[in-house]
Amino acid sequence: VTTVSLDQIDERIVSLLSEEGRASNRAIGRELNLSEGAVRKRLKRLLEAEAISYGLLVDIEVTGLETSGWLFIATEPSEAQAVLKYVAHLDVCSLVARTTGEFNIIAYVYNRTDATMAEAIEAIAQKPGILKTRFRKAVSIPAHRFEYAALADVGRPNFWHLVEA
Amino acid sequence: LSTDEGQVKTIDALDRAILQALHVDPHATNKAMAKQLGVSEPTIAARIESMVARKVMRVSVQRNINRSEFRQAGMIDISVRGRAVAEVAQALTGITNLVSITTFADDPQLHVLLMARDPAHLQAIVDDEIAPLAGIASLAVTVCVDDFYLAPGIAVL
Repeated sequence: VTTVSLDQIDERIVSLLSEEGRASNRAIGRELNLSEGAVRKRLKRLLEAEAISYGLLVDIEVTGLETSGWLFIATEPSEAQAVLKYVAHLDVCSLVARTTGEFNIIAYVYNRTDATMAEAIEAIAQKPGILKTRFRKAVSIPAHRFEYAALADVGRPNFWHLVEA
Repeated sequence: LSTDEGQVKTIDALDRAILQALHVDPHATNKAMAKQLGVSEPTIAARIESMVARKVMRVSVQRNINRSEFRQAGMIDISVRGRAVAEVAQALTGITNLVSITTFADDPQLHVLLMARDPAHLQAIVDDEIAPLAGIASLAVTVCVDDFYLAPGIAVL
């Protein structure tokens, strides 16, 4: 696995873009005393090396997804990978990880209401290879640093059909 | 969840279409979106500006954990005793490579996700920065193995 290192200038560019991802290279350059071309070249390197990616953040209030929490899943050992892929592909899953311990998959999931969440978890629990599930509803999220992502080949969560205009 | 008084976060059909287009390609130009949605470029620009100002959405560049030197994810479940959960959560916001803190109504009341260099580093952060905090009755560390996937899309702006 490759580690891509960022120098101080890269770090400053990424910090600015983390706050305002649609800022132009020219505006970033002006801020940091760099040419537009220098900014473009650095971003190109970081994007090609998959050190960074562009993402859209939508406020939870707008999404209509009123409930969220951690879902713990215990699977047959041989089914862990398949279940992980399945969960990662769910529309309302923003994080999934293989873990040590009794529950070998942990995911963060959202849904519209407690009732729709219960239905969704019941459907997940029916999947072959899943031994048991446990859901812990979040009361609050005192900290969440959205400047991190961990890219996998499963794409981004697509919750749009749940969002009411 | 919102702390901004008076921010109106309602969106109409055009806003929603713009959000969908940005979801597919957060780097899409206003010009391309204008053409796709059959409106003018200044309309797109104004709509995006308004949605950003009202904290409806934000395009963000995110760091890929899987290409950084801190790719060992760890989750720490914390039982709080003798101190308000919110206070302990506040004290935890400064720890190294914190990704998120979640609170629950029942014990263990706190869940912390953080990134470390390797399992030893994860343990060091737990021992040096979390365990000594006042109000922590007990904690349990869960180590993430391979295939860590995190795609923030829903945020508290």
